[in-house]
Amino acid sequence: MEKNMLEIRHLSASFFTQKGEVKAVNDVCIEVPKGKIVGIVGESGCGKSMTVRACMGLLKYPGRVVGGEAWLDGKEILSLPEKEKCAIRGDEIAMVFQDPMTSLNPVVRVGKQVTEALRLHRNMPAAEARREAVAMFEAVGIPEAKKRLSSYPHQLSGGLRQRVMIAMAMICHPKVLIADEPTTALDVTVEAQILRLMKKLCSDGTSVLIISHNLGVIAQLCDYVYVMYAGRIVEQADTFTLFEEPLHPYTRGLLSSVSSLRRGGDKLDTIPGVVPNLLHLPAGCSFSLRCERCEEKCRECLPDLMDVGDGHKVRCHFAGRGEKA
Amino acid sequence: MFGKKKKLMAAGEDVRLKSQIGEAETFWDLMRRLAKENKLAVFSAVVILLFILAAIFAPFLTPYSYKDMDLLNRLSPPSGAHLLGTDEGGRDILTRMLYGSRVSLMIGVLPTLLGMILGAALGIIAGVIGGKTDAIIMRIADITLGFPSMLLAMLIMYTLGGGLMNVVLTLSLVNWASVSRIVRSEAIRLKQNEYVEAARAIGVKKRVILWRHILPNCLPTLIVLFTLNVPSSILTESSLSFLGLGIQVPDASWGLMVNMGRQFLYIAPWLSLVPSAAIMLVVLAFNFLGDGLRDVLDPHQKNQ
Repeated sequence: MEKNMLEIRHLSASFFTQKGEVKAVNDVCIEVPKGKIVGIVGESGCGKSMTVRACMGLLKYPGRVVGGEAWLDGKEILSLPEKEKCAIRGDEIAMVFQDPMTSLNPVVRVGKQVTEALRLHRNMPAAEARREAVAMFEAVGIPEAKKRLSSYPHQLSGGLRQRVMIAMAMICHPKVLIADEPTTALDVTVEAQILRLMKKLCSDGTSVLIISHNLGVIAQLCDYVYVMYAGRIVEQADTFTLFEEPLHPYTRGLLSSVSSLRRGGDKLDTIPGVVPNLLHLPAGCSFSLRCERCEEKCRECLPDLMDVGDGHKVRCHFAGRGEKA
Repeated sequence: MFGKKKKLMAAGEDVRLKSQIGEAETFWDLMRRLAKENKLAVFSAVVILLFILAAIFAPFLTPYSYKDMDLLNRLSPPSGAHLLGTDEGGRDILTRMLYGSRVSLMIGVLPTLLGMILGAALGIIAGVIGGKTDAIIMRIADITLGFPSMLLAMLIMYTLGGGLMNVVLTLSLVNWASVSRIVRSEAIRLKQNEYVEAARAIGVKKRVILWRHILPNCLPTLIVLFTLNVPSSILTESSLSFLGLGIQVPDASWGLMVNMGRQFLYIAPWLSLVPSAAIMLVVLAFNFLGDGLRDVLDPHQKNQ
């Protein structure tokens, strides 16, 4: 087993609103082995982004980490004081945001934004940082790298901007790169390029934790997948197993609601109902309200995340009894 | 002649290309672009420059003294000897205008700049940090704003006494509050932006984000505010002088001259009209220049 570069243990994070505590992340454990790409999937509002933001220490008020730990290469980072978190962010752990249109400061030249981390963490003089940035731009496939350094974000296309974002995150060669839906805002051609780029980065030894609601992206890219629902991990497995033998009804629902030319049919499958209100989670399994196999037991008690072999874990009362679909 | 024009056009092409392919624009590129896109701004800059030069070289431009009276020539209309006429003490108006521009330009720019630096700093801090800091700074600003500004200025001037530097200080202390309010709301809007979070994600400290990421985004607002505040400073100075708290005769400032001429508006209108026209000209010039600068400096608006 490879060493885990990032290990999130029993992480819980909540928003404390006037209406009460919104449990956005609930007892989440995620392991990212060295040099692997790990994915988190789930629909909007299931706590994917919250999970990674919490472990970067980027939660905004009124969000707060309630419990749990995050170990980055053998070092617990959640309990660090803000100053040390600043020293780690961008240096050892970095993040690529969803929308490259809004994640770059419009009035600062991209060169300055990319070199900022180097100058901050490595104390590098400007000229040297620029050279590094040019090399990084070339590595992420930005043509005319030298000229691009002095561009403003609005002068670049969406794909180029996302490459800039990735360069910005990668410039200090972090141990872990977190990508929060890095391709959602891009068109498919560019998406493919960006995904190829992420895969290449990973082969250079960086561990990647990628968030997506696009199962295609996950299937293409990830070694290991976590499925989240209503703030909890409901299923985890290596990518092949998950797509071949999904055990949790929610995962199955997700997989069957992907449109495919090959499958045909005239109506797309959907999962009925909506994500439960995180303010008032059901007492039992959080998927029980939408699950077609729901029984009394499901409504009353929350199933554990059971190991059904080979690291394939499922949070369902009916899993592991040979009832594979 | 023709060759020169062609060369200029070529330079223009060059600049447009540079900004389009996203290459670095130097200060001079920007200025050239300003010249190409906004003739009015250039004209305004020339006007302001002329006024500044006039202020500097006042003693060389006129044979008269700005304070010596010539009672035989009181209130004489514009003539060959006195291009803009004389005032109630027989002093040459052109001379007083030239010397007055020293005071008025300084009063227009310096307190606005000081007030803006103070206001912007406090406004950004209040907006970004929020909470108690925000509340304290904003209540002080509210009090400053709520207090009649003329009364406040008078109070400060009474305590400190007259004189140019005290006027500058007074106007700065009056100016900052409105600036800080506007900058604060701007900062609150800007800090929601994702790029602030992205900057945090690469480990930039909050303090640095303030100056490096939020302040530059406030710049267009600040430039507009500057051009709006320059005229109001010039006018406030004239009111203060009128009340006997600012510049005093025989020293000259445009505001003072407008006010002194008021009594003779029917028999010698040029006394007030000349400095009024100068104030208007400078104020308009600052406004146009500010607009032009904002368009050129703000990368949002490029290529539009």
